[in-house]
Amino acid sequence: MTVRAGPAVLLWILLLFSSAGVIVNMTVTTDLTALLPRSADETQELLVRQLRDGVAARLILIGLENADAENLAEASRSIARSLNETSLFRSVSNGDPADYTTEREILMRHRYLLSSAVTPEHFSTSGLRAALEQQLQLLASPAGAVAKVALPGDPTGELAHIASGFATTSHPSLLNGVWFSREGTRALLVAETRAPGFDLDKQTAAIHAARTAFASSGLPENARLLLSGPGVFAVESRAAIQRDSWRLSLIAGVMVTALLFIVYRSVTPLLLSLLPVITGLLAGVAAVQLLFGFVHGITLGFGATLIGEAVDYPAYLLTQVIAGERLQQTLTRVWPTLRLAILTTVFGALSMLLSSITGLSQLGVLAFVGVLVAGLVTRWIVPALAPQIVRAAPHQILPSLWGERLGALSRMRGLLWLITLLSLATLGVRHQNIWDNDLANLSPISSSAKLLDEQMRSDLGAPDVRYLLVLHGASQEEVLQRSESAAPLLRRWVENELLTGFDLPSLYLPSKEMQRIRRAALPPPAVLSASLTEALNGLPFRPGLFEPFLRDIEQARTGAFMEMVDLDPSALFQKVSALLIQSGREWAGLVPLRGVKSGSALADHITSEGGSGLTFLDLKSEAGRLVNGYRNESLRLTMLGIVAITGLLWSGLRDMALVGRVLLPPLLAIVYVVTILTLIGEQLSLFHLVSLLLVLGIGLNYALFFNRPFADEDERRRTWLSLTLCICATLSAFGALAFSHIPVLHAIGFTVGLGAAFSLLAAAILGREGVTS
Amino acid sequence: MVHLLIMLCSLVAWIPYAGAQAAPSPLDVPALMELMSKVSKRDNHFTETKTLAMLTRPLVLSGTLSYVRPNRVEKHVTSPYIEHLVVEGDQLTLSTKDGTKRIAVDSHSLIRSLIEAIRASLAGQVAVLRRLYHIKLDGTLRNWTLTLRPLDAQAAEYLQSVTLTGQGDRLIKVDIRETGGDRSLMEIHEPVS
Repeated sequence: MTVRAGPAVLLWILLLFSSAGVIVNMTVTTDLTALLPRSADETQELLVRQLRDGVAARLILIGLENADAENLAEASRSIARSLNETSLFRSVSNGDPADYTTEREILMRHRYLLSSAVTPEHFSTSGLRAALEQQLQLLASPAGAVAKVALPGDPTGELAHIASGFATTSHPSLLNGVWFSREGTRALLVAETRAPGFDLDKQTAAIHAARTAFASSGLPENARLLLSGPGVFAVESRAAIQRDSWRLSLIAGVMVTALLFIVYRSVTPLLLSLLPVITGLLAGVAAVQLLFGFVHGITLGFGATLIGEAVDYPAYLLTQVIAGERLQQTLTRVWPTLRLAILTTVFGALSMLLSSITGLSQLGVLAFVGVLVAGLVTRWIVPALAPQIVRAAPHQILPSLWGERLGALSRMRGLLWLITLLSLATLGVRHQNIWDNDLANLSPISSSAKLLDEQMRSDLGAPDVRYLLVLHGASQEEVLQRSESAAPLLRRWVENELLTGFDLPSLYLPSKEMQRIRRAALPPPAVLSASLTEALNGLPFRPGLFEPFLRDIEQARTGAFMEMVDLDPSALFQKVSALLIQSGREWAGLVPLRGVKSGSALADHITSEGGSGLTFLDLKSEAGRLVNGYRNESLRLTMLGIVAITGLLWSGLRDMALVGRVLLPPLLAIVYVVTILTLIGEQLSLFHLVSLLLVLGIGLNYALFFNRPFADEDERRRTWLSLTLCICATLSAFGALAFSHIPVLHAIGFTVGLGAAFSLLAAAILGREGVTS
Repeated sequence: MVHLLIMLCSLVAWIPYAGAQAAPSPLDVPALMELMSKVSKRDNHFTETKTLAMLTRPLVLSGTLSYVRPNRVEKHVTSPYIEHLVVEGDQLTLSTKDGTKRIAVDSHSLIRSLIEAIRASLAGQVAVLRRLYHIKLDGTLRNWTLTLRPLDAQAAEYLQSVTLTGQGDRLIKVDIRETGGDRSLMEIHEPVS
């Protein structure tokens, strides 16, 4: 180590330690919504909120199968019991009627405010008489033994009426008293976790609890447990990605290490090669944490990919060493080109850093700081730590014909332009199929898991909600009144078969205005008592039987209005809190629509009949819009980055033809990769886009080195060794990823591997001919 | 005297035969169920008397009760109002003048217990009965009484016992006693011609 390099090394060590210090305490989140734009409009905000906190995101669907129905039902009860005992779940339901005692009590207590049947005529002599005759008939039926319990308090059957209002959709089938699939082969449970769906550690704990409960439920050994739901998917995909990325990283690591060892034949340069990328990654992650206060899991994954090109930096230096010279001397020759290679990437990242989308700007910061630091480490630390004399890499290991062949490629320029034209024409024709707008396709969930989820949802009568009606208002009361006036409209649309069912917040919590109207319909004691006596005339009910009814009506008539908290702690409270949302000073009511035949037809009806304060929301297309916005912004910023890079290249090279030779290969490579992806039917997602940015960075480096002025044939052969080493390392690392079954890893690996190869080929074809000095 | 002797002899000669008539093979539940399962179709008039604590006088219903193998039971109330109750497989359909309601037989264990007491007995499905009830059989094949007490705690909360009375393969009486003292007695009469 030279004395001059001392302060640099000291600074480096300081940077390593402080970065590590920040990273030890960093907050990593996997919450997707943290990445979404802050300036989203109202509907998008609602969508984000639903994705984030919605009840739907917290549900775990549990299926039990492969045993006889009796055992499955028994196990369903035992699992529900043991899950309810943990503090992980807000509720666990298996359809057992005994579990609805709380709900029944709450509904019973507020029945005269909740029931839409409550009108003055309902309690007139004739209204009461009709109700009593009906009750008498019910008493005689097989359901009588159960029905008679509620009869003295509820002769007008309000509870049954309220419950029938909830049943706007098909109910799951019951077998042995618990929910079963329609064929009766699979017992079903629905569990709602306390933790939000994105809290993957808590979701993991919940899944573990379900497995434990299943193991001790006493089912025979060959019985199966099926788990599904957003949280389960998220946990499983995290595990799958971790598993695959570990395995593939290991394979790539072994291959790259072997490659470096073949070239350097020594351990020191191998270790030196790792310093820039490791320091860069640490510093980049620490910078993100300091600037944003958290690091997103996706930023970490993509960031590591983005600064992957930093692995190449030491290779450009170490393979250029002439036998007997010191690394410092090598550096003076290579540095101008290397500096330009580093700065182009830094400039590319700069544009992303300015994004309004948190996810993109985090990536930008990580790439910006990471690549800059990796460059500085290559410039100052690698030479300082290297032994005085580094053994020259034997560029003779390349076959001597290799260089000539690579050089001869320039004769293929005509072919290159032809292919480019064909590619552009293909993209022009198929431009509508290039992008993937479906958020769902980003998920690494297998199609069989998706199918099982759909099946269980349809068996439970709770299909995934795609269409929503949003009721807007300045207060909860206004939203609830809107909900009440939407009810007849919705019922008519159900009759017209535009949809099969809906849910309304006012079903569970009527507006104050409605409660006032219903309360006013309840007659005072003397009037009611007289009507009842008259209605009972000739019927065999025991005298005084309906005292509780008279008492309850009086209580409802003079008691307090019903508030949202009155529903706590029941499933009804959960329901209404999911359907009534306060965002800022605005209130929104959600009306999930089921079995919508045609979204556009319903949208037309809503605009023509729905009136104001109603918005129709198609979650699927909204999510598509969100992804679109994300992508358009990244595309715009990338364009900006390319302009900046062009300017930088011009100021560094001062030769427009040379700038073209450097800039074109990666751009052409990107065109080819996109064409191939489109031709094989793989649509471009955000993952591909980020990978293409890396292709741009790597490709620029290749082209820059290809177009360096070479002093002699030896230098030329050394450069070919550098480039061969770099492309082989890239191909082995990303080629391994391309074989992953997980869409994310596959997309990154395939795109980068192919793009790097095309970049090198295009750089060779477009490169300068002959030796210049 | 000779006459008397002959009479006596012939009487003695008859004894073993008469004994066979009076004490047939010992009566057990599987044998009874086997006998019941031989009848593939029934259609009888019935009268049902419900004595409830809530009511000052019993409710008397009448109509027809029919059974079709393997799992369909229909109870058609014709008086004092019209009501049609059909149980087939897992579905219970109740049609009244106000409309038709469909519920699952399993929606409440009491409903399941009450339905199977009649349906499984008519179908001769001893396994179904055993799963739901503690079974006791008395009397002879000519005149038997099957007493069922619910095993399920939820059903037992409402239901004390179901007693079925029959003669041979004919069911003639279903006596349902509830825990609160309420009682329903269904008498099954001659077949519908």
